[in-house]
Amino acid sequence: MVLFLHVTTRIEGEKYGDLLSEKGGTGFPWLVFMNPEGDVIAPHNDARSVAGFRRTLDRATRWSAAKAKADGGDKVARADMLFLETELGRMEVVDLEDALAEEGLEPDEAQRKWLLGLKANQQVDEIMEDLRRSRDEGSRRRLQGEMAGLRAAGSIPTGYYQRVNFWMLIAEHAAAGGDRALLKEAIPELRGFLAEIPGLGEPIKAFEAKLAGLEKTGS
Amino acid sequence: MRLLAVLFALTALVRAETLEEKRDAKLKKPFVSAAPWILDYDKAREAAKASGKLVFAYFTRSYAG
Repeated sequence: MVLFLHVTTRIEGEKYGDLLSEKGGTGFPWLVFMNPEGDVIAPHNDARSVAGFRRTLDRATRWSAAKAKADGGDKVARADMLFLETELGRMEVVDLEDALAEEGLEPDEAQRKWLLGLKANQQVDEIMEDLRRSRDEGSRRRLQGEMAGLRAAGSIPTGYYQRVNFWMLIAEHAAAGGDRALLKEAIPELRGFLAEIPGLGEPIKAFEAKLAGLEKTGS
Repeated sequence: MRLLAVLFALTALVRAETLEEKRDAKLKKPFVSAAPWILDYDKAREAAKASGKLVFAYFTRSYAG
């Protein structure tokens, strides 16, 4: 990929002074993948790590390849393109479903699983939005329970930050409720993010201590 | 005279950086030299067209602070 650094300077007469807002950015820093024409393909919504950038690059590259095939009339590629746009945050899940229906694109098995993951991403985002708005412990406990409910229903998110939030709230729910089995499931999932999110270290240790306590008492 | 010299020195210390100075300071940060960043949007698009690659764009600012 080509690395482009744009520094908004507010120096009078600077070239492309409004490029951030023209490309849809609203604040700094803002990271996106663009095609050679300068069209935004993929805003970077994943972790700000090498692995995270690679994941967004992979999605952006797959979208470009799917678009090229779709422009040639390939319907499966057209569906993949729409799925990737949803994954990249450029389209809502409901709009994806509408577009698939309008264009007569029947999802194959892989795409149906993909759709379930995307719906789960949206459900997690909604719970997290409620959590941000809530202030009391009771609401937090309720929302932790809702997240555990998603897991019980088999709604497992596929988005990076959605997965982090998903397993964190589930671990909190399990710890609060003394659910050893659920805590045992959540801890390794959270450990999987430790390399990219070192800040998870302390909460994970707390969950491990809780699990050790539960196992000691035979709860 | 001494007082004037002290005042002048203090003024120099508290003088706000110009936008150009802030831009130059930003471009001197280690992350800029750590990777082959293209700073010109037109040149970045030309390089992408020539190589068939995508552009990874990092938008930042220098005017604040």
